[in-house]
Amino acid sequence: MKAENTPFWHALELAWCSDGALSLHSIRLLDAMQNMIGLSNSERAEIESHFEEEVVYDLTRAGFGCGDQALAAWVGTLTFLDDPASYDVSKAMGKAAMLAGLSRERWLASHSWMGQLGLGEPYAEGVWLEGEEAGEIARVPALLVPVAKMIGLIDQDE
Amino acid sequence: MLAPEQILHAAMILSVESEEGIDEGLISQVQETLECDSEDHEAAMSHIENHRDGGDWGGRRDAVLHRSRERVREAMDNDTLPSSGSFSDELNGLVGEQADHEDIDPFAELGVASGGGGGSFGDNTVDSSDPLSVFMDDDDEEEEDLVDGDGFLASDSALNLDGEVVEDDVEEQEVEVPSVEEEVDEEPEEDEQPATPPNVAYEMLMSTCWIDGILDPAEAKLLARKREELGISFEQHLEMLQSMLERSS
Repeated sequence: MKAENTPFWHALELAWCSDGALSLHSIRLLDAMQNMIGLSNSERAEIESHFEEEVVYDLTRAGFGCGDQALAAWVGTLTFLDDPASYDVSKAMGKAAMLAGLSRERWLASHSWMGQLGLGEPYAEGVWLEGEEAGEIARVPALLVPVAKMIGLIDQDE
Repeated sequence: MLAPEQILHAAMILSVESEEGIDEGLISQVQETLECDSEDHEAAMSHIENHRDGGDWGGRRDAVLHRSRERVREAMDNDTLPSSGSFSDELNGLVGEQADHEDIDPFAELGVASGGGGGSFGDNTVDSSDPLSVFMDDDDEEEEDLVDGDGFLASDSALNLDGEVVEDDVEEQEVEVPSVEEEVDEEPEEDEQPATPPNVAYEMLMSTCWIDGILDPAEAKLLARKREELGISFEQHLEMLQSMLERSS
């Protein structure tokens, strides 16, 4: 699993990148997210240290960490994981990715992303047409919008 | 020379397996041209329904379609079916349409014998128990013994999908072996090449699916079918995929 291709990395980007600062509220939100997706401390440490080296050291502070608002909204979308439909939606997403044409890089990145949310298995089944036929995806849940952009289901500009 | 019923049967298989499904108009034309009656049509359809296996044909789809195309082509070559005109064009469409997608069995190209739907992982046995392999045999004389007057398998060859035909097939092979050995006596074992293990061949197939950089639905379907045929679990597939991508990165 590549650290860059994970929801937690995306959360760190939201927290840090709007003004180059991390608020206390963001730290709490990141803690909450860690618990919600069942990320271990060592996994989180690996991602955060990598993020600091790759991103944070190049940032210039321009505020007081107002990225926490976007992060709060993002963490709110994690409730999708409790939705009974999340399995089927993930599978449909995998099928849609395959129908759109999936490169190795996109497969690795998207599977890594879905894996951290605990949805890697249905997503992989959808891509590789394993098990019962996956349905069509009607609407991409907010939580999966970043990965939908990654695999070309949604325009990057949307 | 093929019996009219065999040609009708082949045309019906191709039509049933076409993307649009069976074209009754075209099949009626074939039936009329071959002077087959409705009983022949019903018998062929019954055979197809019994053995189609959802289009998988007991894991022998490629072979069944290949053989059916050969039969229709042969019928057109010897003018049993017209080789020119609009009817001929429709037949060419039927034959050509699937030839583009189904002609090549990558596993055959790789020297791997498919297990015929349910072989275990690592099981590399030749598919002699496949009931359709009898139907697909190229030897006309042998076929006459095994095929009834309607062009389908004779009842005593026990064509079914439960594997009950195995004994008959084994006996058939045992009888044939000495004559084959006599013919190739001077070059013993030279033709015997070790078959590629299924997991290796599957990995090769998987890598070729991404040779253009993009996985498409046909490739995904092909891999799914091969996993089933070779008894490769989805977990094994993901493991092989991961190691393949790690090696290539």
